Amino acid sequence: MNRTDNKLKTRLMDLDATLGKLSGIDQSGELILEALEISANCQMMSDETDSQLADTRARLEHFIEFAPLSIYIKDEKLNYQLMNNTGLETLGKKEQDIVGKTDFDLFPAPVARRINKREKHVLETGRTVQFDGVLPLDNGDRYYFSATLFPIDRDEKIIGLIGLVEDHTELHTSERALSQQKEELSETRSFLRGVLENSQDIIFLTKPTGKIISINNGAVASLGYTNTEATEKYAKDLAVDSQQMVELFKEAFRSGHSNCFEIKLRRRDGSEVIGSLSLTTITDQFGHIVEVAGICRDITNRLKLQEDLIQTERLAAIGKMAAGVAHEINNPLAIIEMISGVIDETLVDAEIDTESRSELREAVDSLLLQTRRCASITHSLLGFSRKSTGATITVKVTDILDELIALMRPELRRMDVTISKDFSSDLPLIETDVTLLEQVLVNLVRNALDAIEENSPDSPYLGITAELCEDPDEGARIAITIRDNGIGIEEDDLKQIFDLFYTSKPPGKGTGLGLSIVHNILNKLGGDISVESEVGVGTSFILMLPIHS
Amino acid sequence: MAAAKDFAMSDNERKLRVLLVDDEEDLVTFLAKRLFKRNYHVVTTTTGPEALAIATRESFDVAIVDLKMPHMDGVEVIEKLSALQPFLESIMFTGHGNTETALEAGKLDVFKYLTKPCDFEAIVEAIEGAGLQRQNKLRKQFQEKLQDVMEHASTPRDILEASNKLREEYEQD
Repeated sequence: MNRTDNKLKTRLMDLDATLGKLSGIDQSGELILEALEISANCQMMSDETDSQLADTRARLEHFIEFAPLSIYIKDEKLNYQLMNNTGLETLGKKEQDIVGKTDFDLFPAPVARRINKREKHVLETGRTVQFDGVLPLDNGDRYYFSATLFPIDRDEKIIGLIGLVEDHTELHTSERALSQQKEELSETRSFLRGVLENSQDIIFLTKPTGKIISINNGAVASLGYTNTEATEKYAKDLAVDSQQMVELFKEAFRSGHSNCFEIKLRRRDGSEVIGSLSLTTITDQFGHIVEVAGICRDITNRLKLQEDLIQTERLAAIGKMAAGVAHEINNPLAIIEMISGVIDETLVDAEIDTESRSELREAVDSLLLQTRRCASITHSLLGFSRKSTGATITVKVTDILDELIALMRPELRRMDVTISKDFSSDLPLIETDVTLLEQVLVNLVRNALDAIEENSPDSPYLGITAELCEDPDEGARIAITIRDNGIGIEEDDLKQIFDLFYTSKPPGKGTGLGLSIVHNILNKLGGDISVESEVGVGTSFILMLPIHS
Repeated sequence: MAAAKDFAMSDNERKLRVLLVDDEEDLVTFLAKRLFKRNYHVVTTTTGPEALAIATRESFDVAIVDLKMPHMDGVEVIEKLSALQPFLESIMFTGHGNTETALEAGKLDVFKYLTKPCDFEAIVEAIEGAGLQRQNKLRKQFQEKLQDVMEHASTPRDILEASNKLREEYEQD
């Protein structure tokens, strides 16, 4: 008894140790098998029951029933003999439902066959077998599992097997979720790549050294480099002031990102583009900077718009001031003219010799001429801010043209310009706003004189023609052509000359307002304006005026 | 306040009676001189209120009024002159053809507005045009009233008496 007792005690200690390990939820199954073996041994060995032994058995049984494993035992015919609580719960069965049954009684044939094949293998070879599978459950769920089958041998004969089944459903679900996430991630990534690639913004990626890794399509379009050309460059090569870019990189290294609201970049063709740039460093998991990303928005047009706006405001202010000054000067001018007239009239009856009279006459004429010149200046200044009075009258176009020539006579004479007039005799009267029409004509003649002055041809020439023009769509209109042999207009400029603020003259010389005002006025008058020009040869402006307003 | 200047008391042959209102004293002086030489009866003043005072005593054919004057502007002066003398034609003198003023002048019954500095002949032309318009308006109204009398009078004597009365009334103006 002593020997047996000692042996039993040793086994029991083994069992305790094994259970201790098991309670740490070891899923390998080996330990449980060991525990079961020990338990079986104990049963064999202990004829005498002992309270310690009974306690251990109870703990063991409880563990087996509720371990997070499905455990079953089958006989050599593969009939279920036993299944623990976890297993029964998983399958949604009662013990009596399964004892004495085979898998073919419980599961669909294909599943049962798979299990049966492996279990037979265990019985035949006495080897431990492990396999994964999936069971359809009664409640419609699918149960993913990983099973380990152990043979039970007694006296060198295999009398059954133990199955330990781990629930892998959650693992499987999370794996599936993971792969779904991966797919979504790659979709998102390709979407983002598309956005970045096709963004209008200039986007580039560089190494920490500033060497460009790649640029997006926006950069290709804005800067004119191909991706390959760009990868041979450094980011600083893109900037007009490379030092500025270097400083931005330094700042980005210090704080993770840097911004510059206005940086000049150099296009491939050498021209400049103004951008608003921000740099961001990209770090690896250790916090080391591996790449630098740059995003730059082209703000060239926005800046130009801003400048135009400032210019507009400035012009409006100047216009207002000029109008005020001109208005004040008009009164004294009116008086000077009036007095000149009085002198002129007084001369008629004055008792002086003929020579003095003619000399005074000349002086008064000159006085009147200069007064009119002043008046034309103040009036064109006022015209700057003047709007249409909306009053239309019926006039002879040729009268207006003659007046125009008379008004411009001093300038024409000073520049020694030959005037050629060609007015058709059959022109009908037209209904129009004379003030506006005059403003247009003065503007065009002034432009012509400027162009002539720039070109300085041997014989400066200004041709003004007026003729009737029948148009199938517009009906009868009067065409006025003002032709000069001035410097001409470049073909590229021709398309833009009527645009607001477009000017080919140097700053301070042209306002870029003249022709756009002309265009506007003609719209208002219901007419059209077109232009023909050849550089170095001359320009013709053709006005089409409706006969009725 | 400058005193009104009258250039034309003695001559009954003067063609049209012109009231000239402008705060630029030199301008009115010299313009009046030249208009006088052209046989117009001209009365000048440099303020609106004085112009109104003159208009209560004396009838005019045409008023030339500056737009921009202190105290009372040309628009108000023309409105009040028209109330005093319904057949008076007005010409507005402006420093420049400002849109708002032009609109205002459109609402007002202004014959023409002239931009300073303005050619003397253009002023004369405007006065003649205004005078003609006034005459046409008068004639038209006279004939309308005469027509009215003809239609409503019962005896030839009534007609004669009424038309004589009308003629007196309109010849005076």
